[in-house]
Amino acid sequence: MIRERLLHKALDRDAAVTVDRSRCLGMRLDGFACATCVDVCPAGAITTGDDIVLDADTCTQCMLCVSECPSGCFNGSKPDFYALASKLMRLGRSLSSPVLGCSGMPDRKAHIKGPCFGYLSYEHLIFLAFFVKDGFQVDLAGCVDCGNGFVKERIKERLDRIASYAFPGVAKRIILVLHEDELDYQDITYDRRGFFTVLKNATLSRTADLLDRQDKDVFSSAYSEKKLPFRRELLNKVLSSLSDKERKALTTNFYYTVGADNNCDDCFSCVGICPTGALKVGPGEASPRLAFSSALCSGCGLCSGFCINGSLRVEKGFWEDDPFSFSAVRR
Amino acid sequence: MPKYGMVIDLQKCVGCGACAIACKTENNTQDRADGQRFNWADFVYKEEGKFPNVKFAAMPVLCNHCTDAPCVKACPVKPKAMFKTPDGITMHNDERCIGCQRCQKACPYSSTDVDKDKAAYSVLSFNAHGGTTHPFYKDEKELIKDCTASGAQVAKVAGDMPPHRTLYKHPEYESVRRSGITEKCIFCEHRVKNGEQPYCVVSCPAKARIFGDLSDPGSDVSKALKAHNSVQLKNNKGELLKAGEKGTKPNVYYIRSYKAEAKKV
Ligand code: SF4
Ligand code: SF4
Ligand code: SF4
Ligand code: SF4
Ligand code: SF4
Repeated sequence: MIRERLLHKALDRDAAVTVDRSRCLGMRLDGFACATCVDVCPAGAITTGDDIVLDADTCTQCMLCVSECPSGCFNGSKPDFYALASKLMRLGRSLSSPVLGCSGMPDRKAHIKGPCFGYLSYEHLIFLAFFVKDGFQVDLAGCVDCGNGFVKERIKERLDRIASYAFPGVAKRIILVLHEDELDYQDITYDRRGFFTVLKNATLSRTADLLDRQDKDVFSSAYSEKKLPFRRELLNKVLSSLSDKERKALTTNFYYTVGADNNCDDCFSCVGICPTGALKVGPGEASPRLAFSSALCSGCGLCSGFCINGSLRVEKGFWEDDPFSFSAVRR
Repeated sequence: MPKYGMVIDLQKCVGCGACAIACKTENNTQDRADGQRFNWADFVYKEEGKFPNVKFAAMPVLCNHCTDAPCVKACPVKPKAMFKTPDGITMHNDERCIGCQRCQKACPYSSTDVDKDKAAYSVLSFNAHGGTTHPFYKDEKELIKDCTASGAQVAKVAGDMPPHRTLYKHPEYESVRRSGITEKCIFCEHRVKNGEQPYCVVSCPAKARIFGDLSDPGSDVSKALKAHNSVQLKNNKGELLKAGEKGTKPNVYYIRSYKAEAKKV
């Protein structure tokens, strides 16, 4: 087991998990009860207290913290995910079902390999399911031999949950390969036309807005900076591409609404504590009111935990029309 | 460990405002806007009586670097963005501040909106989220078109923002603060660390401001407090702490009260 761990690390240095403490809910608000990462980390590599610390030597890079932290504190797999997704899309044009593999398994065949599958959160899976329309296989068959093999069950659970939330057809596009003999690996062969199609699509998808990046800020580790968790960004990209009916299924199950009681006095403290920028000072020079955009809200609950008047409620589901626009918080 | 504090001699102070200007240039604070003062060193002016029998008093004010600092207690982040240094300075860390303004609400000498509060000053100021600090020097508009330079042009020619910026490096705060955080007097710790006095103290032409170690009986501040009765401010409306009242245990003291009087002769 130890051997595999080390192998994985040696092969995929880039996958090292980094911590952005400015995003951690417990760091932004002393005493806020979140221990998601500590609970989810099977290696016990994460400790919270005076600081949030990830012990790189203990970490097995299973990426579960990356996919579970509500605030996007860990960004192990972020840099390459769009590239991985667009490659899967391109492969789908010449293969009936491309294979996504794990770089910790050098002997297994795959068309594209990424870090340990633990990073595939609900949001990642939804994104892939919607954008890789021709479907693909996730090769989990090797997990039995790996110290991080527990991620297999997590991926299964996540995909089941997505299917149960009104996306059964879409979720089916992702085929989980659980046993050796279920794998359907095809070699890539290009005929002339196919080659040019691939080339064209490659250029298209590279310029596609999928690849646009958020502006980089100079003060990247500042608590005051508003950052949308990467997983939220993925969901928003999916949402923008959906029909109205599909949108509802997504917004009611994966988006949030912040409401206020009448005792909210528009002091705007919550605007500061919100890590994502989902709350802002609304328009109105004389008496501006608190405004909210669901597309930017991760549902972390920090604002409601912080409000001195206990005015704020964070509820699952967004029921109005446009999650992308800011509108006055409902009282 | 020293315990820094300040004593202001009101009979020496001529109310000239040199300290306030000095602080603005040293710490690159911007102009007042949107209920924020951005004057780390500011004034309370008190007028009493009816013309022609009037009294006038000016009191320079700044962060009191309180021993029981409520701003520190209110700060929610970990480690606190507002904290006490071992030598008694109430320090602010720019990187950890989330701009919730809880400190401004907790501090008796601050207001989230001085205009609405009808307050005389606020020792804490807030740079709006997503706003721009030093908007004047980012504005392209000329005061007199095709005649005067715009703020943006001045900044461009001077090559800094603001043009008169004093560049200093400190591990906790930047010489020009970013948007979305609060800012306040830090007793010019970047100078104090190098054995210099705060800039307001150095630039006072009347030598009315004394800065030093309150825990050292031989220091100028301690001697001044021993020689004279002193008072401390209670809030940002200009009220004083009564005898026996502790308040937040402010570490800025005022000695030798002074009022200019106009009398009918
Ligand atoms: S899961 Fe994220 S927000 Fe929660 S304690 Fe861990 S790092 Fe902080
Ligand atoms: S609005 Fe509230 S629940 Fe939503 S991201 Fe901001 S702090 Fe978290
Ligand atoms: S004067 Fe206000 S900001 Fe300064 S230490 Fe006291 S409470 Fe804090
Ligand atoms: S505004 Fe900054 S310094 Fe003030 S209480 Fe909030 S986080 Fe702390
Ligand atoms: S510079 Fe000195 S004399 Fe002038 S206002 Fe300030 S404290 Fe008073």
